[in-house]
Amino acid sequence: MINEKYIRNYPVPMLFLSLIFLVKSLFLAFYVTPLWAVPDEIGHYSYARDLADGKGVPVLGRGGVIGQDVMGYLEKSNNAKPARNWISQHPPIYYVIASWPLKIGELVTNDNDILWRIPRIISALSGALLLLVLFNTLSVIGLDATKAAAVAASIGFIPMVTNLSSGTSHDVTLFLFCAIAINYFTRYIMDREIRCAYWCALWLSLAAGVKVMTPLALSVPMVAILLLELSLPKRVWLKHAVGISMTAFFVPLMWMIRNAVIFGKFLYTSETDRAVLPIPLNKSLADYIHLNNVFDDFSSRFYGMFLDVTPGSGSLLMEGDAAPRHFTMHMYTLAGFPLVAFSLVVLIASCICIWKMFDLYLKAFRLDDINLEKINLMAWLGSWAIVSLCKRLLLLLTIILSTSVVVLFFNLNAGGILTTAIVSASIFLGFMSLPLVLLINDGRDKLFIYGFIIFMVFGSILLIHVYHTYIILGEVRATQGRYLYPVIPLVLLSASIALIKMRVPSMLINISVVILACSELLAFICQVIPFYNGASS
Amino acid sequence: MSFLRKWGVLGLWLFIFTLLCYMTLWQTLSKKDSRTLLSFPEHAAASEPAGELVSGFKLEQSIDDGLVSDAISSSPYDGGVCADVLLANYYDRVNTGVFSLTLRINNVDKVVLSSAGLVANNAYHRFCFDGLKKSDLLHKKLVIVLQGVDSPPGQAVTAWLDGSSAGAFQHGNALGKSLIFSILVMEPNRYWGSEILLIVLCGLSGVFIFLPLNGKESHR
Repeated sequence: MINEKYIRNYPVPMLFLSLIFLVKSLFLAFYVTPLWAVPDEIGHYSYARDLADGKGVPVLGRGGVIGQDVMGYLEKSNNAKPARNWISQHPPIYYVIASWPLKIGELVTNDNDILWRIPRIISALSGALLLLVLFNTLSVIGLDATKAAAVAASIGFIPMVTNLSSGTSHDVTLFLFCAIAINYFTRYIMDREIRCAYWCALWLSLAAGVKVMTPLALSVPMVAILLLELSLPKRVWLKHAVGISMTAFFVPLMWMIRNAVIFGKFLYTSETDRAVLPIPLNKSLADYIHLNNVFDDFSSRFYGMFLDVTPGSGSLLMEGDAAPRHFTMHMYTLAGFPLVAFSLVVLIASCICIWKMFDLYLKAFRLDDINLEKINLMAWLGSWAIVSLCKRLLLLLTIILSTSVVVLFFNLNAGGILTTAIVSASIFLGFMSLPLVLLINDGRDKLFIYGFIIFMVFGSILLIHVYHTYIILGEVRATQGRYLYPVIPLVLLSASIALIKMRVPSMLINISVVILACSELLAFICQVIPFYNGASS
Repeated sequence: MSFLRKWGVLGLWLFIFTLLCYMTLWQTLSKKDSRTLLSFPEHAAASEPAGELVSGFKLEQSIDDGLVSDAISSSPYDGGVCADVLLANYYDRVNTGVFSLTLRINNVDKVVLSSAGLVANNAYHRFCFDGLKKSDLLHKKLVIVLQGVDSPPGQAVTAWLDGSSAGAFQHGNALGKSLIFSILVMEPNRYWGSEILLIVLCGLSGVFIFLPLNGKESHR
């Protein structure tokens, strides 16, 4: 439900950019991305087909299965047994949507090669709409149309986003729903229209109806901020606080109640009943990050992780199976120039954000007019640094280096220098944003810091979750960059605010977008397509 | 000046994009996939050099045509035929002159000449036979012949021999060793169309990002 006044402002080039992304995703979906080559695609497809066939919402471990035909294709066998569908752990909103094209497709064709690909249309559409929503959000904060189009389009130049948009997967739809929620969040902070807070809560709730866990990690801090930002008389505040909270948590609450009724546990997932180690691993969080290259895994898989299947060879033990299945899953993560170029663009954006943070500190503490520069280190540094460009550059370098040293000191370095620098910068930005919450009043400045605070909370929850899984199961799981998608629109928003406030020249943004566009093209032509070509032959 | 400011970024994009296509992508697009018809001998070890490929030098080796024919039957595309042979240039010595590789098919010779100066040290050197198709090899008696043409001694390259298998003959004498080589068929890039479409879409994305908006700015 995007307000009409914003829709009218979509320039034609932005609509074309979205259309091009749609064409690209659909083309990849039907002609390039091999069948079942997107993460968990067999499970997502089977869930959608259960709904299309009128079987209702599948229950995890009790009827939710991946059909014999799909398993038969994978195992190159007519006698393949159905497999347990671990994707039945998710709520049904995405699958209800994906079941419709499948239903229509079943009326038109019975060719499995086409039918199995048909639900991919929903991901492609979600990706195209995502670019429009991001553009709209960036316009709301005042980024001019050309820059907003460039920044929004840059998300479409992340190969992993393109890859997921060409497969049956809930990730891009979840990304879209969270982006719409963040659009209303932005408009609430900027315009203070209470209905925007409710729309934000509703879309957060719908996002949690696509996938419960990750959107919840976004909903909790976002709803907390919405409530913090409600400046109303106590009784009215209480009314809206209850209303917003109920709206935001209605769908996940319903899903949890359903879980409690069926399984006896509110948060029941495919991992709940997994065999845990008799004694949890004796590894600290720092050990876990260092030993398993966690940050590098997150960053490289965020940029591009590709899968391919070789049917009928090898053996793979699937969840809930006693015997291995006869197919092989190949994985390839992008490397080389495209990944380095992407990391450099992110690092430069982080530096611009830190630069903006200096200004914000100075502004925040000067507003009080009590000379806090003398007692607050950041404010003192800010007032010292603002004197000259050289001093500011020196300070920026010192901050990046010293945070990196702290990260290295705690043994948190997981791989490349660029990853370490980006992680250091985001930790720095998250922590430095916290004290500013009660000190600034400008809407855009608030959005700037909220983006980093929510990213820090979200990132910490995700990190703790994957660490906990490692400790109790003894294996590294869920270090997937795509799990960060719900919070990416907020980070993009914060970075764009820094671009506006720091008056970053269009040329720098244009160069970054050119680099990202060319990197994606090179990644697909020089790495992804040869991977699909090689792995399948 | 205002025209340049308005259209300059778009022009720059088109220039950079064309340059990228020319420098990197065109090479990738025109690159052919190779499918091996006869692979290198298993556990091959380059044990000794065959000697300098000077004028008069000749090394022959028969090819198991059964293996080649099986591989030909399993591959649908009838592409050109190439051979990779393990050569050496004596520690990056500057060599001159020409040497040849001949594929004898039922006593009909197909010859490829190569310049000694182009041979890298301890690397596979590719010879592609003009006009020879994969189907021309089917069920034929095949012999590979490596010959020196006009390289002078001290300025010629050599070929590595594998001591673990036999098959090579020099001037009719069995050496008890074999050349280290493979026979390949070149196939067109199967994803050529997809790659072209992705290039066009990327180019168009850039055009729409950098297209001037006639001063239309944000509503805020």
